[in-house]
This record gives sequence, C-alpha cells and structure tokens, in this order.
Amino acid sequence: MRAAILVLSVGALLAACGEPDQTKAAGNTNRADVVPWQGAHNPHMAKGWNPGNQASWENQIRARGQLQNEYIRTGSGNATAPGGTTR
Amino acid sequence: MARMKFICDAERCIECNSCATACKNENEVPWGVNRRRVVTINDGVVGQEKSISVACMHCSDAPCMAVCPVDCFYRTDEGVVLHNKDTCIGCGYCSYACPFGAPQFPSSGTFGLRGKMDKCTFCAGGPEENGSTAEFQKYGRNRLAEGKLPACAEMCSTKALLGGDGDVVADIFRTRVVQRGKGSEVWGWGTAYGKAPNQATSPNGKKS
Repeated sequence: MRAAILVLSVGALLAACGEPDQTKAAGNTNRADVVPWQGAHNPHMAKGWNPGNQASWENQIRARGQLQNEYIRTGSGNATAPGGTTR
Repeated sequence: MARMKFICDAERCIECNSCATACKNENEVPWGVNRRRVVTINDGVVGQEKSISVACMHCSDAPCMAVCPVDCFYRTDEGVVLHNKDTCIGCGYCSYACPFGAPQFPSSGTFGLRGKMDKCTFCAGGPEENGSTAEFQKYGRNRLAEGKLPACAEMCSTKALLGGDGDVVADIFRTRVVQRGKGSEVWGWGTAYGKAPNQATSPNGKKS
C-alpha cells in the first residue's frame, strides 16, 4: 500500500515537471497550411499529376520548369550541357 | 524535395513589365501594390542599360521573418516565405528589413491608412485552404497547388525570369551562360562588393 502511494506521489510530482513547448517562433507557427502537393481542388488544376502524391507533384513542377528552357523547347542540339547531361 | 527559387537574367530582361502585369492580373493585386516590378539601371545609356525583375526572393534566412513582432511569417517545406494576413498588424517592420522592397502596403482607407502587408507568394497562396475563394481574396492564386509555376515566370516573354525548383532553374541558367559564354559574373560576391580590376570575370574573360 505504501509502495503504491509512493509510486503515485512520485508520478504526480514528475508530471508537474513536464511543460509543453510554448515557444512561438516562425518555425512552428501557421503550420496548418496544407502542402501544395495535396492539390487545389478547383477547376484550374494542371493535368498530368496526381494530387496527394508528393513525388508526382515534384515531377510535374520540374517538368513545368523545363518548359522555361528554350534549348529543350526548340529541340536545339544545344540542350546538352558540357557535362553530358540533358538540360 | 523541391526548393522554389526565382532568378532573373539581366542579359535577357527587356523591361517589358509583362511579369508585373501577369502578377497583377493573376492575383488581382490591390491598387497601389506591386508584388513584382522591373528595376532598370543606367536607363537610357546605350549599351549599359540593364533591367531585372524583382519581387520577394523567398530568402532562406528571411529578415522579414526575423523582425516581425507578431510572427506572422512562415516558410513552407518548399522554401516559400508566406505570411498570415489575419495575424499581420501592418506595422511595416518587414518593409524596412527587406533588402528587395518586397513587402507592400495597400492604402485602403482614409488618412493614408496602411492595410495588411501584401507580397509575392510565389503563387502559393496562404494558410487558407488551397485554391479556396478565401485564399484567393487574401493572397491570390495558389498555382503551386494547381501544379503550375508562378505566373510571372511562365509569362516572361524572353524567359529572363525563371522560377521553380532551384535545381532546374540553376541548370537552365547555367546552360545559357555556357552557351553564350558570358553572364556568370552578374551574380556573386564580386558583383555585390567589387573585385580587383584585373580579375577574370567570366569563363572566357569577357565582361557582359
């Protein structure tokens, strides 16, 4: 009986030592914002990727980014960089 | 993980302002606010005129985030610096801290009343539900959630302004510099803080 009371007392005392993080900093505020790869759920969605799939979204963004590369858009032979990789 | 970045190629920008127009139109930016603008140096000097499109650069260590007294800024996992207009008090500290003049304030009332801060969102909206009307009204379109890139970069007629995943953007710019043999010297420490006169400035020594 004494042991049980002792355990409960120690538990109650240690519980008072715990403290949730109350820091308000830029790293952890407004984090309720939904990640973009979840999709916009509106009629303006671009085709060719699956909302909810992060890898699919990243591939879509990279492919779309390459549309800014005129060496690829024009099919120019200059699309190959000195390192040998296709840009 | 994609890290979103902008870069503007001063060798290509022709000061057409289509980036600023596209931004205004796409996001229905309030009157008096310019999230993006074109800055020209040596305006009218033949051969020395250079233009660059400037907006929020979504800094990795953003000074606006550091000085905000109500901590309304946040950075997404994609490296986009956004803010919460419900928290913003319109004090203007971020405007003083930003080296690019990105934070803007609409004069929406009488006596020059300064409204909530508005800035480039990399077309990534804000804390509201992605693509919702509430998000659009406060922050503009969320093109990233639609699988698109910022309207300014996609609309750029000469592709001077590049936006998107930092690796892709850097690759495109690097390819250009190698192809034309100049342009790498427009960025970096030497350009910002000066360099020795006899120092080589580009892969083949030519100045832009």
